Amino acid sequence: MYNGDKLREARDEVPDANPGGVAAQVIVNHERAKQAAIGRQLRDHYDAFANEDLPGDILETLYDLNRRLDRRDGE
Amino acid sequence: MPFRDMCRSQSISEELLDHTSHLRAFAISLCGDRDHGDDLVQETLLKALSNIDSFRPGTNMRSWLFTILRNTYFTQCRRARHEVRDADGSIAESVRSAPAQEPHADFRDFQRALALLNAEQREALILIGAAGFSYDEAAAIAGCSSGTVKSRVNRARAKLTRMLAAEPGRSPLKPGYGAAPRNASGRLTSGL
Repeated sequence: MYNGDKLREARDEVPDANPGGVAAQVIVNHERAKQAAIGRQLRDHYDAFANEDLPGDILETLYDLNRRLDRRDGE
Repeated sequence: MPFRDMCRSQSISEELLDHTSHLRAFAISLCGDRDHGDDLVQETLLKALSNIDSFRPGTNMRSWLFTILRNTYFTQCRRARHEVRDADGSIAESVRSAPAQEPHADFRDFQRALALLNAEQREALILIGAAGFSYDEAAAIAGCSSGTVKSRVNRARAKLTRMLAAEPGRSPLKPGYGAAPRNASGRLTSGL
């Protein structure tokens, strides 16, 4: 159920809209807000891992790859 | 001209290093398990080096690496004859993100909900919503059309919304949820 404040806010944005249109717009805005919240949580989840320091074994692999690439260049 | 003459190892190493953090975030988000994600990254890096001559200079190395990783993951899934499930939430629980700070309950619910999506939908959502690829780039990585990616993203968002908005007794994310379809072994069956 949508409260009066949300309806008033929606009416402020679209003063000429009919009541049905305003209600529909409130629903659309509510859905958009939920989707935006999910989008933020998804990015937070991903960024938390992307911003971590790489584990030592992965760094060792990168170091090993670097050496193998260097050796290949020397061939 | 051979690749090695066009692009020296120094820049390859730097590019690999630049992309590895995001590759790892994608891996852990996709498979829902930190250790498995790290193993996927290791395997991806080794495959990338083995096939470095097939990489076309001037193209997107990040997309190339993500493609190798997702192909590796889905090959593992096919071999295992099942997708990753998280019936009791233990996998989602294991992928807590910030050791220095306890995640908020809503954040844990989100992790569980993400783990309960089917793998293709989760992949599409992460590529588009978190990793920042375009629909066309994500389609090339996933080996499908951009329309398929769009529909997977839309279905994933709708499922997440339903799961996160469900009342405790009806939510697969909360204790006491008993209505989820399960197979004979007690695991949750595919997607909601």
